[in-house]
Amino acid sequence: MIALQVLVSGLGLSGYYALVALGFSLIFATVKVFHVAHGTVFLAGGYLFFFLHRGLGVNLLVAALAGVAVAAALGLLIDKLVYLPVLRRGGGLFSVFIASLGVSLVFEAGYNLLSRNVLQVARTEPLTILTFGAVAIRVLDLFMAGLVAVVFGLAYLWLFRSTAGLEIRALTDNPALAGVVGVNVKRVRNTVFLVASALAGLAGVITAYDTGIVPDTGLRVLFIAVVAVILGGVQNLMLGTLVGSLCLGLLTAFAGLLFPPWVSVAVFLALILLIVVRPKGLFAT
Amino acid sequence: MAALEKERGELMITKGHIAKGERTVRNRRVSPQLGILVAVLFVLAACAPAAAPSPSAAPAKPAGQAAAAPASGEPYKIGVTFPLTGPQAAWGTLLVPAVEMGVQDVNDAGGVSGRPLSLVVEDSKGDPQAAVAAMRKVVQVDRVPVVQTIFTNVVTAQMTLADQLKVPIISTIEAPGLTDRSPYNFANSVTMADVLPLHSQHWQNQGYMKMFAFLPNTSIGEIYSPLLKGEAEKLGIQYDEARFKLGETDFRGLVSRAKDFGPDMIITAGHGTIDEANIMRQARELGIQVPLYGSCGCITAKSYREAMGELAEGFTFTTLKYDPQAAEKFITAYRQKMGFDPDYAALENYDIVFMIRDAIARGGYTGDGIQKALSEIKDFQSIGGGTISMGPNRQTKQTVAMYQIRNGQVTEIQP
Amino acid sequence: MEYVFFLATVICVWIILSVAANLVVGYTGLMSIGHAAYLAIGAYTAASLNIFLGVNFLIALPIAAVVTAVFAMLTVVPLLKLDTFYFALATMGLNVVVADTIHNAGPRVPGTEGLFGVTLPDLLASSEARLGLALVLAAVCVAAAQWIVTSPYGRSLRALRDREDALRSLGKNPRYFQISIWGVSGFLAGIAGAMYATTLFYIDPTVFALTVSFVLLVYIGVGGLASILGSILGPTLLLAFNEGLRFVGLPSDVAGQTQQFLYGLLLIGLMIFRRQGLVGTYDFKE
Repeated sequence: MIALQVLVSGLGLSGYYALVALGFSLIFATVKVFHVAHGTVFLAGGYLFFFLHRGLGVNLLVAALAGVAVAAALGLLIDKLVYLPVLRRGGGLFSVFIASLGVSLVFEAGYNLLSRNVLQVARTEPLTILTFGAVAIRVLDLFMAGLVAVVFGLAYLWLFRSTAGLEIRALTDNPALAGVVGVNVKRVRNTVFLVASALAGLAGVITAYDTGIVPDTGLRVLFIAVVAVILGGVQNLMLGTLVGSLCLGLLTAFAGLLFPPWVSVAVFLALILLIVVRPKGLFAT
Repeated sequence: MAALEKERGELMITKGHIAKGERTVRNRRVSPQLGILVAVLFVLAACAPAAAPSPSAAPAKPAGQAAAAPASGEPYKIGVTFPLTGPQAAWGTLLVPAVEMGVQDVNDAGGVSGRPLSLVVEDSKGDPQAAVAAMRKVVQVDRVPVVQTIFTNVVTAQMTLADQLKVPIISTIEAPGLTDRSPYNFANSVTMADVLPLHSQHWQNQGYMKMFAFLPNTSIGEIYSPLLKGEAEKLGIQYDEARFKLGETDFRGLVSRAKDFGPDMIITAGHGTIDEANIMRQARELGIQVPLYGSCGCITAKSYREAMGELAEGFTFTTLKYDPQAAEKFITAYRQKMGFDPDYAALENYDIVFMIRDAIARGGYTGDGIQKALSEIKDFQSIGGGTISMGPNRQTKQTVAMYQIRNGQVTEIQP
Repeated sequence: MEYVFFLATVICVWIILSVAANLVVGYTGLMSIGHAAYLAIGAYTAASLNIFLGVNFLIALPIAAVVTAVFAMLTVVPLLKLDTFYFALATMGLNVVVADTIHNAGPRVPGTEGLFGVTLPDLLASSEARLGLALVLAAVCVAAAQWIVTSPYGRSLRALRDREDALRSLGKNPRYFQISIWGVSGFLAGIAGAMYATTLFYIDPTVFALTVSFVLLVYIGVGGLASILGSILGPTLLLAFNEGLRFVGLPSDVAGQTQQFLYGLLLIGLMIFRRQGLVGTYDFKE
């Protein structure tokens, strides 16, 4: 059944969106930065992984961890070297957004130079699949499902059962008050950027392994994640992000089946409609 | 202007020029550092059109100048506008060396009546604005009478200019009909019409009953679709197709459609972009086991082959005749330089250099002369072993063949 | 030399577009990062009228400008209630939707991906004449914009940008100003688009992608927000510099990336150090 097959593909896609969206909304909710360069971080993880694993033959796990680590560091660096200086010198959050665009361009130039815009797929072996009648499920998709479950589970525990998570949620609710009651805002900011960027890097690594990456992929995945976040509600870090990602995964998969040239249009129309009609997301009260 | 010396390949802006800039540009509201920046930019802009144009080749050492070749004297310059950056940059990187080697080989063999060829290479960036700028630069600044170019949207933008300036452009585009639109637009390529008979023969021999085609949602797709469909119907083969968008990375929706149709074989026919490799790979990864076909030689390109990985095995395609023995010298030279074998487009572009050489020899070093001589090309020997003749509509007719990847090697097969 | 004429014509087109964008971004505070959409509407309208219906280009141009103005006003209305961020996001979305829709369903000369073959009246067929037309149009647009921003209407725009409540307290309706200036901006973008179509000989949707809007942002950002002079300086300097890179001896396969890299750095640098650009007057504290 073709619809079933596409459903499976859609669920697989939503895993990537969920990882990126979680990181993005974490940053947006806590420090209110619209981190366009999140897509850049995603790509950094992917490109490093590709270079190490397929280029130099480094062990898969090691290369993947390196990708994640470098992505995490990069995200933090971008905040420290670009966003904070903008804020310190009187710029507002919109200026940070433009600066983030700038960072995207800078790195995209670098990725373009490195890859010559050739699709980089970080594997030569085909993916293993399990066939259930007319439906083929890639083992990678099962792995992603498990990974997302683990990540979200850990995120839940961290955000709702630990002091660090309490501090993050405090910052999300009321930044001014959080500082007053002794939350180490700087440390929380750093942690948030590190964790979110690590998640993006992870998504980048697996995408590089799965369908491969081009310099375009970063912004494209980012925007889908943004729609997912807006759909689920920017304040709703867990459930909202998950539901939003699932919806976007299914949307892109079925759009890819029914009217492939219109997938981007579908995503961006969804973006515009959501922004105009219900900017606080479907779950807002 | 002495400050900008292209031949040295370095930017030399002397302090004198910066000082000059500071004196002439007064901008009171701007801080000194920004003032210097503005001045430098003005100087660059002002100097730009007046820079002494010298024949230069692509990033590597200019073939025509450095080779200790029998050809000597004032070189005949050819313009090259390839996408060196932008979405098609990969092809530019692969093909400029092929063109350079063509020039080198031409010069080693005596050039054109003893004089060497040399290249002026500009970046077309794969977009219309840069394409026109690049062509204007090589034609109106560097004064070349012929331009070697590539990519449909670039060529479409450049053909009007070719008409106006009476400078022929020649490319390897495969879009049927574009060469009809301008007497100065030439194409050396293999089109669907050339290879369809091979495929058709093959389908009959294999006894296929159902086929599925992937085509891009561009003009080429619109033109190829009825050709494929018509041929399939003629042979009583059930046909279905899906149109894909260039630049996507995930085609599983479309592939599911193919899977649902249950074909005996799948063919992709398009611009030869990496999307086709992706589709093929994702088809396999969604459980489709049937043979895979392509209507162009794109799988010979490094990035395409890498995207398919192990799944390239058994892939069957058609392209210009690519005989490894005939092309051995070129293949070895290219492999030495790039680390991998040249693809079909490299061969076509290498051939173009020799075609231009012939055209200059027969028609003279003028736009109209080259245009006339190119139209008269007959039984030209391709480096790949086949023969090429220019058709009445400025599209070449080449010897074509069918190939298959066997044990990782490109092997010619009979339909 | 024709090469320089071509470059100058392209610069004129971008000046008109930069003025159009600066009017809404710099003077009115409406952060549009998708203005390439309007460039596309103008270009495609003018080119389609000329190629498919044989309309004389000099008539197609004003028609395209009006169509773009109307389209701009219609599309901005639902977005006006949004705050800066979401507004910007929505304009980016609009850009992508317009470009992709044109790509999938828009007019095409058969055999190509876009429109080519815009014919000019014989009088304008040469490069010099085209440059002349572009210069005239640019001068007119710049003068008109200058007149607008120095008028009482222009003062209201700046009031709208800086202290909307003050504007309201005077009994003026912000919506009126926002929609009307957006229409003016659309009109100018339509002119720019029509000229662009004839300068490039060939347009396809890639010419109007989201990245083009980013480039426009760099031009007006560098030139200066809320400055007509800035809208002239920005594109002139950057386009000249960009083409100048061809002559500078950088390996050609790096020059294109260099441009993108520099633009990114410029955006970052501007946001950190000088949000008002070279000669701009609006240091947005947003």
